[in-house]
Amino acid sequence: MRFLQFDTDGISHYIHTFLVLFLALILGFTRNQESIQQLRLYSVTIASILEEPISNFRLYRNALQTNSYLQEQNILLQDELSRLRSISKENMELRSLLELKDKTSLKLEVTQIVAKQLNTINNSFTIDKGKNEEIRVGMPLINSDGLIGKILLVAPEYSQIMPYSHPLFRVSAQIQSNRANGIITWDASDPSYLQMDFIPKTVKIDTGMVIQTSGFGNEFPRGIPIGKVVDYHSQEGSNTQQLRIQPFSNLFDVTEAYVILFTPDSTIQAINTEFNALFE
Amino acid sequence: MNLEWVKYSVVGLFILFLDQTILNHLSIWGVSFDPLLIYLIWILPKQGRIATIYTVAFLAIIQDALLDTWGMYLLSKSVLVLFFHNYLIQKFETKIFVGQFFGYSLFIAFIHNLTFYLFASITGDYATGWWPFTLILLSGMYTAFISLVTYLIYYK
Repeated sequence: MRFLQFDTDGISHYIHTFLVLFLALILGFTRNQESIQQLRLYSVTIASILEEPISNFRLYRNALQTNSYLQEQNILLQDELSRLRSISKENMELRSLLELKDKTSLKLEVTQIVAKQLNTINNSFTIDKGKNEEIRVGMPLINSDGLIGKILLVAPEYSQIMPYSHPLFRVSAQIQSNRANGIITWDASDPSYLQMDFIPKTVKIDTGMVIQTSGFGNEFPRGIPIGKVVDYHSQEGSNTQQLRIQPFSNLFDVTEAYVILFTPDSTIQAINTEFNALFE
Repeated sequence: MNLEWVKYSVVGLFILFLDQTILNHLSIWGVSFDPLLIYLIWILPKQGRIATIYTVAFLAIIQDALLDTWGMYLLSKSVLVLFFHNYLIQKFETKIFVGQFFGYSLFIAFIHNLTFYLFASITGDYATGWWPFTLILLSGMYTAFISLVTYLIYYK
């Protein structure tokens, strides 16, 4: 076996080999000394120049990877932002509802609108409270801005709402500043506004006047804000004038609301029935 | 005048250039192979010892300079010439089997890496931890594997 079997034809081979080994040892042990430092500086510079083109390649590949990672993160953040915005809006709405609850003496039941249909003549909402929560037909639905509608149908856990934007919706209302009474209706030909009829021509009207429920119909309590006057005109052939009302509540935005647990006064109802019977 | 060593040196420089630009990116989990060592296994038996020692020394110094390991590769590769020159001349006189070639490559890579590690430990320039294991075993095996692949490609 010739492993480790050194040459026997002269000593010069070993001299050369050990010279190189000696040089290696010197370099190894003196690499941190100042004389070698300058050499190292040059070698590192040359190595960097050689590596640079490939580094650019690697940089490009990393940039592509970073790009797809950031795109993924962007989608996730957009999703989170969208949810946070939604939560923020819900939070604001709930805060204003809480403020309303603190201000009013009426008995309120907070509810969430679970279904909404506002693109047809037969507009409706569905809320997540029903008979089990003492909800009854005819009770008004409001939010912090004002009147939304009234209960039309009641199931044990859900109720159907007739919003103010329904052709059959009627509510007895009054002008807040002068107590002039009228009836609020909705006309499908002018869907963004309500109409208030039967205001005598003698009553002075101005735009911006606030309209609220009158309580006279014994259906809604008095003082629920409905909207403000934006226009008015006299009705030909009668002594009354018609007001154009901009509702305070935006039905498209509303997600939470209160049902006012209002029950009509039975004594008033009985007297009314008796009164009507006199003329039948 | 025999200028074989110039030819081997130029090819070696090209291999170092490839190593610096491309091959060092082929590391797997931080374990890389030494293309110059593979090249040396091929050229060791092809020249006389003095020409070989200076060719190897020249290339090892360049490698040390590029990798900032001054003296380390020079020592470990010179030791290989001292130990394996005559041995490989004898072995390469006849055709060797694939398994044998892999075995030689693996053994030479282990000795090379072990020398490198011992010298690095003495000079105290390198951290310990998993590094010796990675260098001596895994890097040696990776180098031997690539050496085997080049052997198979060459003799195909």
